[in-house]
Amino acid sequence: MNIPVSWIKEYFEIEDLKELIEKLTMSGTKVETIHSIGKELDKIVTGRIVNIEKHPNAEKLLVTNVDIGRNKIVNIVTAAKNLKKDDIVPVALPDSTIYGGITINERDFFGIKSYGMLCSITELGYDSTDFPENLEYGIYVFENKNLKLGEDVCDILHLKDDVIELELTTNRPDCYSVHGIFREIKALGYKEKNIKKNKEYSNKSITEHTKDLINIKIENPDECYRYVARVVKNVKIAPSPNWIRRRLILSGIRPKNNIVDITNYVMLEYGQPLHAFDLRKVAENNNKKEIVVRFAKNDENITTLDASKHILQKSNLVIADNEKALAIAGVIGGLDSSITDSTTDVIFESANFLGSSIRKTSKEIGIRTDASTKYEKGIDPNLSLFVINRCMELIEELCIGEVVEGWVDNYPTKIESHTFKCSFENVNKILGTNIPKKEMINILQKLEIQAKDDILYIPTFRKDITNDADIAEEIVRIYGFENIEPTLDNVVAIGRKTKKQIVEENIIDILKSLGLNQIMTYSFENPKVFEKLNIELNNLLRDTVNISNPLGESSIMRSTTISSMLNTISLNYNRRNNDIYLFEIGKIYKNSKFSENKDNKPIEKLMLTIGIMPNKNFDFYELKSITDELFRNLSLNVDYRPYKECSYTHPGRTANILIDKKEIGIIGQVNPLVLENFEIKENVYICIVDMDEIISFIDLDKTYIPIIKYPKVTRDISIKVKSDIWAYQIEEIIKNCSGKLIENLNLFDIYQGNQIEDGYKSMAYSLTFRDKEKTLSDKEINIIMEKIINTLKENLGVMLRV
Amino acid sequence: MIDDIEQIRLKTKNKIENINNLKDFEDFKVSIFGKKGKLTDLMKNLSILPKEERPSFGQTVNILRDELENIFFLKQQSLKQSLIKEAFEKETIDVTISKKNHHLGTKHPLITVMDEIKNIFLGMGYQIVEGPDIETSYYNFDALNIPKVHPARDGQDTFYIGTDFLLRSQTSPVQVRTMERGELPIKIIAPGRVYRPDEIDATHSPIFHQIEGLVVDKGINMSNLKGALLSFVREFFGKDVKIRLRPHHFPFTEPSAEMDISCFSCINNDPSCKVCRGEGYIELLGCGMVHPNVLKMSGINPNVYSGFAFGMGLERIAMQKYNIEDLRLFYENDIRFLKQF
Repeated sequence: MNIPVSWIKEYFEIEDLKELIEKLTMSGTKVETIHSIGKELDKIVTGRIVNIEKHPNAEKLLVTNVDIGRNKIVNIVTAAKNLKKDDIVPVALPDSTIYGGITINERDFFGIKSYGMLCSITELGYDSTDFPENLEYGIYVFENKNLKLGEDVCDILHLKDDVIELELTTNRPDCYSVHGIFREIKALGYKEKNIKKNKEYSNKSITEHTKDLINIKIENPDECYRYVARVVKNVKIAPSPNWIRRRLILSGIRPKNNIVDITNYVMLEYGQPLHAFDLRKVAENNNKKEIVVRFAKNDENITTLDASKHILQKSNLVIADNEKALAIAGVIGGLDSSITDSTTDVIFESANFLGSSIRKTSKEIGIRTDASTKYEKGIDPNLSLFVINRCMELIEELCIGEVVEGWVDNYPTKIESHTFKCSFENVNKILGTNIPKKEMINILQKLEIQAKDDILYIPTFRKDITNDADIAEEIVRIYGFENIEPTLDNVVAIGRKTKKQIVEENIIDILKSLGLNQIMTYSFENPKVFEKLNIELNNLLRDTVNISNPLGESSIMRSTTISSMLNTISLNYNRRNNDIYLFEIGKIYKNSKFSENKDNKPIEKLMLTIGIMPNKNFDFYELKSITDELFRNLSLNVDYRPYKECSYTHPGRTANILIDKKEIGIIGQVNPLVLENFEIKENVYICIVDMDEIISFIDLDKTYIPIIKYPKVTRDISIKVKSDIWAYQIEEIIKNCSGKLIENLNLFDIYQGNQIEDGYKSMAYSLTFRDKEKTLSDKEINIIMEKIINTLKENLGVMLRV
Repeated sequence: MIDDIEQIRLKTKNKIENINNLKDFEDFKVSIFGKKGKLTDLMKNLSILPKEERPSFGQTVNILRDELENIFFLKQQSLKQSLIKEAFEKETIDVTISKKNHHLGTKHPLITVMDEIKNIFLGMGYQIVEGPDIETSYYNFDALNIPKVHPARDGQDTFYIGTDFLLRSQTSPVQVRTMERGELPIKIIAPGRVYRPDEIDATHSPIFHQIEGLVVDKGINMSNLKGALLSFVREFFGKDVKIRLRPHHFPFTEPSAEMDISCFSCINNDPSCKVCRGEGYIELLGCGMVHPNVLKMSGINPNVYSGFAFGMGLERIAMQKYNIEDLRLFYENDIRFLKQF
């Protein structure tokens, strides 16, 4: 909400604006910013045209003699055509600044010196909305012919002001008005000025009574708590006076005409929206204008002020006469009954509606207005009458029309102030303070909350206060948070991480030390991703968790992390970045139809994804050495088995990763056709592992295995095998044959080519044996080697090479 | 005989001078000390000497042996020295050339900052708790005292997954889940991913991270909240940083406040300061005393127990810490960005 500082200063003595802003902010009414309006305008004064002559050397220019006060008459050259003798105009003197920070100086126009410049309203930073009585591009001419000359124009036209922008919280709808903020300012200890009214207004000038003119029916008292109406006759529709327009504009409302402006002005003052109907347009019933608050009929039509047509639903509250809807309650008026230049008699409405109902209607018809916003937040129904009377006061003060005596007030259930028993001791307990009860009561009184013993009387505009905690907040925001001593709680607790957190941190550390960079990506995904990844139609990955109200095309929660990784690699590749070694620890999401979750809540699984686009000689085995190192560091024994079923990887260069025969992940080279879809033209290697599985297999309690003091024995074997025999088959046999004695086996050479016959490969292993209880003898090793060689021969047709 | 000894001494001394490689040295050493060496030959003469001359002869030979051994030792040392010197010269390389073979990877900056925050709270006795991204309205709203009709529940402010589920718009559901477990006292922080339908720009992202804190026990008060936050801030931002609590409103806390910290980047509210824009303070987090309704709904008696809670945005803190002006950098993962951390 925006409030001009000049408005505050009209009611309060403010010496130090900064201090007020600080106090407001620190008591919960946060001042977001201060907008300084007209800040740059300088040295622009009133001057009277004494004489106008044509410029002797320039056809389109005029030379004026201008009286700028203090007996000084100067020459000013202008191109404007709207001036005549004795007009009083704004004069930008030499060395002055006009709108946009432009400096005006003495200047020569074809041989005649111009002592500054005459200004239009545009040059002062305004337009015809601000000053409807004036031309936008001609020189501004003051209506008042008796102005003192040489006076600062900014003061006369209210061109300068500071506007403070407030950030208000939803629990304080009572603050959404100038006087609501004034109440806060008062509570902060500022004294109100004694404002003397020019005259007491009678609030009536026609003795005919409103009750004889209109009748109000509320059909739905659950949604309309109160409806007050008054009537003004013989109005003269015209622009509002400058000061009202200025305040409306500075507060963010566009001026329209005097009637509409007054309703808006009073709304700014007290936060109660008002509406004005053209009385002629309201139908009569039994010789009275009848206003009915009711639900719309199904498919009832109304054209609103903004000239748009709406088809209403049964749940939309409308203001109607006995024929038709006149307005959509609390949201916007109807075009037909709106104030026009020919309006003479006006019905003013000050009503109170159920916030949630207004909110719903406003959303349904797609219109949000200042009024609907205020109703949504909630307004005190006890304001309605006071505010409509304030409106009548302004009508009289500005001589806009004749106010009819009295009002019609339909208020089915009066809202009374509520009470509750407060424990001041408890308030101190909540805050950790020792504020004396007397001081607390004093603070509450400033906030218009009365205390009788421990019973508090809460005003109807503070429905948000219902318990000790609420009172504690009221006390502390005036007492000041800065006056609370910081102390440490004495909760006995030990800082602790979960196993998952520890493992996650370990993995990050290991991968980091292996040269991989951690990335973080969005969990949203575009459903088209499955085509890009070449994923079959019946694949479970396509059974995704879908967002009902997505932003743009990313409408599903990702069911795989592969595309996030490929997108990141693609971005780096297309920016010509080299050495792309990445990993991510992030979640995937699955529907729970096929799972253990009873409430059908989608499942979230944490995944580790490694993605590498190297620029040197790198192959599958290098990727595998990274994962091997990772699992070794985590003390996990993994196996790799060839896997051909993954649609987005190279079927001949992909393996499943297993722990205890359970598949926990996949490792491989990405299918080049998939890479094309991601605009990547280099080889990419990936590994995706289920973190939840890793976590469940990991044992964080490590035990020391004694170092064996007996020597190791190493034997090499060189073999020839068929090409389609996998290394793991050979290694399984070696391990099975050597039992506990094998310490290590290392494939140190593999060859396929000219030196060996087609369909075969040669492999050379180095085997290390060690017994923890004794030195192994050659004889023992020979027996094992023989067993290995024989089994390899029998089972896999392996031949020994010499 | 004695002349022989003198001969050997002189010849050896002369010859060793001219030896300049290890092989000649070894050969020469063998020719003196070896089985067929000159010293061995000398000693063979001992048996043919008269009995009375033998001791003095033996002594003389032993003196010679000691002397020669010493000469050979010194020669060996100097030979090794000159040989290694030669080798060093040959093997000299340009040590100012850089050939990078080892790369240490990097932790994502958001995780680095998250870890730093976690560690401070761990030291203060907080446990780290996590919760699901996909939540129910109950945990994300109802149990947090957020009214049934509240803008935060709108589709503009919360992502929904069908009618039953949503993407949590805050980490506060973890508070509820922890309180429901009923193990008191509670002292936790809950870091995690949260979701809000904000279009992506330099300061907004539909996905971001929060860190939530909750302490529930008998006698917990606002003064404790202030103490906890002050300890954290001083540890994270520096000893001289001041905090200021501003009253605010959150449905799940009462009283509620926003906490600002004094600008750590400029002195005296410098208007050109990019961090505080001259305001001298930076908005850091929301906090307050847990609303009695929230305690009640999770089965904790608000007449016996009370608690405080706070929540902060990770991206914002990381941006301030590293002077990053565009939040999108965190999720774009340009390797040139990642490698800076």
